[in-house]
Amino acid sequence: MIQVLIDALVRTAELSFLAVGLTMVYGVLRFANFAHVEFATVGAYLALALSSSLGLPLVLAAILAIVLSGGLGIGFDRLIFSRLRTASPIMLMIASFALGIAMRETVRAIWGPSPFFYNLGVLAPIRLFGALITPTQIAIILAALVAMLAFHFLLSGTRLGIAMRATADNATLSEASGIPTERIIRAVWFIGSGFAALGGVLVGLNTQVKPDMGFGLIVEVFCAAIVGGIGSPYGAILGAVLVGFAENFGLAVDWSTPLNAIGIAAGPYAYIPTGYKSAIAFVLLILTLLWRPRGILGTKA
Amino acid sequence: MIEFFVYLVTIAAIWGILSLSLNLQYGVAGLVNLGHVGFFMLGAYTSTILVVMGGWPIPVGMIGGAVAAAVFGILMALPAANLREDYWAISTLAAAEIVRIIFLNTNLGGPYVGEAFGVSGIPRPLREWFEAHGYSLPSYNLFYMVVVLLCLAAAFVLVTYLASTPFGRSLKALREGDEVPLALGKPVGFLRVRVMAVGGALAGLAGALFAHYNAYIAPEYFLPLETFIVWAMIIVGGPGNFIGALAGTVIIQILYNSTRFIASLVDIDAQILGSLRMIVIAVLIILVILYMPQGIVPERRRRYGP
Amino acid sequence: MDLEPLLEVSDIRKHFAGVVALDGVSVSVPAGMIYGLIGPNGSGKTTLFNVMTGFTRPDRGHVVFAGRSLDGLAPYEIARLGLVRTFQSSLAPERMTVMENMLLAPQHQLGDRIVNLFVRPGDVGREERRHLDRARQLLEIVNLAGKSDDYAGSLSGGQKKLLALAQALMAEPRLVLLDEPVAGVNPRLIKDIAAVVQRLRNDGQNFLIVEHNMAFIRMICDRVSVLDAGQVIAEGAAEEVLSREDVLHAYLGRRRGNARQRAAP
Repeated sequence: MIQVLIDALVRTAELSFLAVGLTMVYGVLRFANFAHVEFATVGAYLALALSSSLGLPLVLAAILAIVLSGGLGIGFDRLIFSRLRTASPIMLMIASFALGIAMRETVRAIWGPSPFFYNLGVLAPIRLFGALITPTQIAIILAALVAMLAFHFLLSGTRLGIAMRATADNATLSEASGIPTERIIRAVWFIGSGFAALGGVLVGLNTQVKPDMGFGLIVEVFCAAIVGGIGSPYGAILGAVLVGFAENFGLAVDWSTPLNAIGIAAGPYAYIPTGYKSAIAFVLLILTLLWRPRGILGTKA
Repeated sequence: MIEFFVYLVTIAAIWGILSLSLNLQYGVAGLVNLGHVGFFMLGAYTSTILVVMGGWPIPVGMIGGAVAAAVFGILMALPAANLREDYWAISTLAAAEIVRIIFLNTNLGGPYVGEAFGVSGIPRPLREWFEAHGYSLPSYNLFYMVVVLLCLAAAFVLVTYLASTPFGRSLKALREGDEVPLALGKPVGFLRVRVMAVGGALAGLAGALFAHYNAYIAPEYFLPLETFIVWAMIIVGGPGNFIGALAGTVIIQILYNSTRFIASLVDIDAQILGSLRMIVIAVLIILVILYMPQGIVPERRRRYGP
Repeated sequence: MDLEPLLEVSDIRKHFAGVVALDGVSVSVPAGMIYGLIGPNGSGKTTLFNVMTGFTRPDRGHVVFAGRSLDGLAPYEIARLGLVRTFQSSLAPERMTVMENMLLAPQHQLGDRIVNLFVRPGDVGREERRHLDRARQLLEIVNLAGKSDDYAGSLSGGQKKLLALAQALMAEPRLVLLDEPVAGVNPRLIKDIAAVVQRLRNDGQNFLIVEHNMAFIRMICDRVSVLDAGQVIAEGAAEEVLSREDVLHAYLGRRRGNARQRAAP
């Protein structure tokens, strides 16, 4: 059970990096950015490339990758999304979907479809309350905690953060009050894409780096953002917790007892097959959309 | 060469049916369906299961495929019918993905090749008749191409007719907001369900046509990428009008397949070529959205005169 | 006017995020007239309108139309019962032509059902032609006949309002609810719109109009209810109500930005 808890925490951490950025862009620009998860992929590959071909220490490479990804986010906004500020959300969605494909396929074309693994040597997993946790996983959880705390401080304690929240709440009003909306939008793209890149680097360290790594998470990330309340960064974190835990505990739990109790003959044991892991997130997503589309912490419509 | 041409036209026609059906949902009714491949997949698999496992004749299989896809459209739309457009879009994506995951993980019994419910040996309609009468494979393929083209023509007539009716008119009003249709007494949610059913049925038919042409299907044929390509077709061609959808189909197909010729001219690895192909299409879509959002063929208005 | 009221709302209460929009509003609209629902901006008129037509669910209260309860019905169901509304920001689909907009409106069209399209295409066609004729007549009345093949999006603001009115009438409603029909319309066109509405009333069409343009109300309304800060502060024959101290006060007070004043009941 502790193992499941650890896995859930790791998953939560990974998802939170991506979900927060996604929800921020949605809050300020009002569209679902399907290219967002690709920044994780790009970030992971950049970090890998910088560290292996330029021989940079991993931390430095990661930081560079994050900054570059943030810049890339701003770049794409300038190039594409800024020209669509008045377009319908659908067009923005489709454009972002196209961008996502372009990013993913570019990565695949440059680095090939095979996965890469970090050569970190043998890092012995640590035994914790009877379960195993690798140093990388510890790093992920810690990094997420630090990042979310820093983000919280940003949102509540700094002028930039407050301006971001104001713009997300009501863009016209904020602009009228003198908040430079375009600058805020750039900041949101930078931070959002940067966070995603950080998440990508960590996921890559934990498992592998491959072209579909970002896209493979898209439903979980959307689910986390929506369930928590799209537009609310705290909601995204909450959503990440929910999805991370639901997925891992959902697989680990033996559903035969409750199923048998309500009359469905489920035999001596009934586990959800691993292949259906992402289906859990889907189901959560659909349930949320049906019953409370604005999510737990979301506001109005 | 002719062989290749026949193959191209057949595949293009199947895509054409897909883009017509998506255009009915999006161009006419304004519904963003990001899970269109789900209908395609259901149609293919249902027909396959009915024919290969159930032993039913192929036409029954094809109709079954269309019906199954229609039912899926209804199931997908019923709970989500009143959601806001971006939430609706995401739920369509989720629904289609669930279908794909199910087929990826289930194996409804039977001796099939491939663990992820891949099915081979799907029979092609009238194949034995052709063989028995001494016709070669190329002439059979020609026959099948004609069949698919007829289906495409029928689909075109169907959707164009629907769009010109009061039903179609209600759909067109829907794409600009729920308020006016509601205020005029239109049951907005049910309209959405109906459109998803009709569009779904067509896409399911396309899936069945594909299954019986390719003789082999597997989940990897039905990635979300396919949905995206159909979207590319209707955006480039011009959403809201069916000739545009077909024009877009042709253009994207040409783009897609011309890269094969590039491969023979320039020495690029096939893998990279595949990626390049997608990048080109993706960039094209972005350019069209930025600079020509109404597409290549603009929607024509219907004039009633004074 | 001794008949049962055509539309009756009783004790409607509605609040949004802590702000009380409607505080126990009751209005009774008789048939055979142009009834006005007036009040300064923010008084709750639009909210009341939305409650009547099913676009907003009230916290408390009831709506009864022609003897039928409308509580809990969806907007399209209410429309089908004969209560058709327009929208303040003329929302007629812009990518459809004027004529298409008109043909959209009739209720219970055979062509709405897919089955009929295939089984009875002839009847569907005949019905279309009938609607076409009627649409042409209505467009004549509102002076939009020459624009019938133009996109609704190309019309001027005033013309869009007229289209919305004509469209509502195509649905053959028992009661037409006009939502700020002359807001932002140039004064000359306002007179035309008033003339059209009066002519239609004389032909037997019932109207309920929400407006805050006093001049327009004075021109055409027979009876009015005055709303202020979520409550009805006056009701009665238009001429008489509109010259009342407290009513004028509510309007003028608002314009000078004074604190909201409520007349003694």
